[in-house]
Amino acid sequence: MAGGNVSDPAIRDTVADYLAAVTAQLPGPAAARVGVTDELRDGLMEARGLHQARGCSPLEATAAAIAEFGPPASVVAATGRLGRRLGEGFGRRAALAPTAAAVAGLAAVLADLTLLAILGGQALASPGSLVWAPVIVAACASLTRVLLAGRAARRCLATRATLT
Amino acid sequence: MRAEVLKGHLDALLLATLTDGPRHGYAIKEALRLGSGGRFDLPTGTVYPALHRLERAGLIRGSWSTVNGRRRRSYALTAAGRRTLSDERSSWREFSTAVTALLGDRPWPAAT
Repeated sequence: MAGGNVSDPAIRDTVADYLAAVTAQLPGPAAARVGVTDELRDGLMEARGLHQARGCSPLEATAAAIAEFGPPASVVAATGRLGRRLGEGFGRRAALAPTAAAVAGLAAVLADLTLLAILGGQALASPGSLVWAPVIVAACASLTRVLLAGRAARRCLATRATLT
Repeated sequence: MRAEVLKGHLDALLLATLTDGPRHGYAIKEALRLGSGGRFDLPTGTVYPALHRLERAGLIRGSWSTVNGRRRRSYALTAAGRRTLSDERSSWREFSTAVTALLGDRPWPAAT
């Protein structure tokens, strides 16, 4: 089939620059962008081979292939949301990291709430036995962590939803 | 050929290119161009998103391979895709028969 490995550095750079311009504008995680870039590269190489078979020089064929695909911004606009479209479990695999982060965040919230409940219970049962300064510091730190971990978990779950 | 004329039929045409077996994105685009005698020369950038949409809908299935040292994604019809294509072919036949009858150069039935 048309379009083998590219040995000419000028052609390689032209294709690489084009793909880099597309990739830079694509939304979504790097892992999802790799699939899009690989598919576009293969298509570009096929188009280049076809133009070469019609009599273009390698450089002309590369330029014609790139023109055929259109400006990077148009390709990005047509591509739309990433992650949902790569199939074969790609999205599910990519979603493992945000899922794990979300679970970790929720676990931190749960642990801190448990700690705060125990501290509160002790404070109510025997107020005199507690050294209040470290308890207050620990409670404030836990509340802050609960808020931040909760927010992070929500963001992670939202990211996961875009990938699966 | 105006793009908007093709728009409603793009999915069926893309599915049809896979009737004889899997193809990669650019080969699908070329099959449409060659199969239509050059009338349907889609902007290449629009073909990939359309394929991804069909894949999300479960009508085609993509798989990666390595060809000439680079990764290639090829698409094949799923069972659901074959059923959809068959339905699309039937409804197109009905539609085109009716339109041909109406736009054909022949006398209309007498007004009542």
